[in-house]
Amino acid sequence: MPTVRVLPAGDVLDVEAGESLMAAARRQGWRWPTICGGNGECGTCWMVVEQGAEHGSAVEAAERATLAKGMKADEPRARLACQIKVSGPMVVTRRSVKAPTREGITA
Amino acid sequence: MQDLEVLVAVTEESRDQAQLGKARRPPAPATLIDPQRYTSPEFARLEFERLWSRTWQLACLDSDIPNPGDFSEYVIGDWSILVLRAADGSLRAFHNVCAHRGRRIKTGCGTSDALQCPYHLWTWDLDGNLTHVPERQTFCEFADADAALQPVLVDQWQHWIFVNLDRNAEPLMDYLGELPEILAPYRFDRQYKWSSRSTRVKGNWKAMVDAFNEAYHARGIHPESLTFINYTDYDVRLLGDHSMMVIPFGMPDVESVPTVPDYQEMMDAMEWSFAAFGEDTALVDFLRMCHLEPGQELRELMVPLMRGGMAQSNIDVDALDDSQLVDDWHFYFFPNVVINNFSFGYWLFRFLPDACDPNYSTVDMWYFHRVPDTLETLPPPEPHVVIPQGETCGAVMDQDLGNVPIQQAGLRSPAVPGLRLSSLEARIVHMHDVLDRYLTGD
Repeated sequence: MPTVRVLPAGDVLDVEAGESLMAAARRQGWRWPTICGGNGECGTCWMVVEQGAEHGSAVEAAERATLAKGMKADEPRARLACQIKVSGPMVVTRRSVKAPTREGITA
Repeated sequence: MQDLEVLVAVTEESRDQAQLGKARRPPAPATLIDPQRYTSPEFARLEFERLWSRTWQLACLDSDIPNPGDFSEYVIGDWSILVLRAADGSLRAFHNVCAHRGRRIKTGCGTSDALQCPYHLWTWDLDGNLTHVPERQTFCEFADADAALQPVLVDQWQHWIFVNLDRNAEPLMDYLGELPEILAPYRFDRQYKWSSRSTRVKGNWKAMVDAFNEAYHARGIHPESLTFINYTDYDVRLLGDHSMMVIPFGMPDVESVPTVPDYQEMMDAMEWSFAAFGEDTALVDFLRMCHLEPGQELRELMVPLMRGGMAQSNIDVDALDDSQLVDDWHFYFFPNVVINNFSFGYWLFRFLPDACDPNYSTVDMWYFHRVPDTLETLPPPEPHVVIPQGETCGAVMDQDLGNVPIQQAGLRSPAVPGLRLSSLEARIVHMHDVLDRYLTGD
């Protein structure tokens, strides 16, 4: 099962085949910023892929359009956690992500 | 196409919402707004006939025409009004049409000691008196007065110059109502226009007004700023024909942001949003060096930093309370001007209907800054720039300007049941009520 390390906290998330990174985060009780609820509309779940970008699913038109409207439009490594599917190890940065073991958040 | 009487009918319930003061927001209307108000050529024609022909409209700034002979053209639909500074320094406004063959006498802005039509060189003085007709003896005899320029009502509040095509209109200050008193502490007389842009938009002028008169759309259109602006818990006040809302800055929109945002990401969002309007982001640089204690709101850090920063810049903001200092006090001047008003300046948006097509409008974007109190003469306004339709107007504006054309397209569908509005959108309901008063002739 691929794992994704989320910086700067450094927590590691297990991602199952076929599920989006955000779906994996939710399943494991993480908090990942979103407003639209994971529909690729709001762009709030953006993250920057530091390593392993080749293990991410291709950027489709809707994701590209949402990223282009938001504050990460000029960051070529930005992806939406609700759209990306992961097939191998990856390292991403997103400060506002909270894993359940930190700060006692539970699912 | 429904009957126009039906189109303009808005219920008593929504009229009652104009009674202010009992709630922080007027209640939501029980009725729907007819989408054809945004799309119908007949409705647009009625607006020109009964609204634009008799409401006060912001035409230009006094700093656009500081000296005798300076003129500025204001175009609304098929009307062109020439606003100018007469020899004695007072304001004049005339219908900008030649009494000979109807050509617009001047276009745009400039300076001239006489108003001369370029077609056959008929000439008027700055008071609108006919002074020269080439080969006049070849015309049947006519009185100079019959070929004088037709005056238009003109008046000034702060640095804004208004015109009204209705010679019997109420005085400007009556029309403005409470707005001058509420806005007095912001010292518009100490603000200069540092950027002036316009672009054409596929969207009815009211769809554009609506996009600025509620903050409910932020979660869909401006999600990044939800980390530092509370777009849900805001007050709405109706002020005669006009309205305002106070949008709290320096706190997340807890209704739509599920987690407490990371502080540095909040700063990133704040910096990006203000930079998108060309604003200085020095405040964010200072805020980045601070941190929030548990339970502390960002605005608690912003108040002392902004007071200190303004004092250091020799800008006296003692007349502003903490909310006026930090928050976005947003005002709507019926029918077509909105301002996002801040302690450091304001952003003005003016929406002009297309003369022929209700699906299009032009938005003017004027940005102002307070200047240091020690600066005696304000800098001259920056020249106007026309941005081609679809090109960038700044990232946050682009979010709105990209959205409205798609709404306008949707509004044209017969399947739209009507616009269902919330109390967060009470200013839109109120705008339609006021518009109806004009259209029905009350």
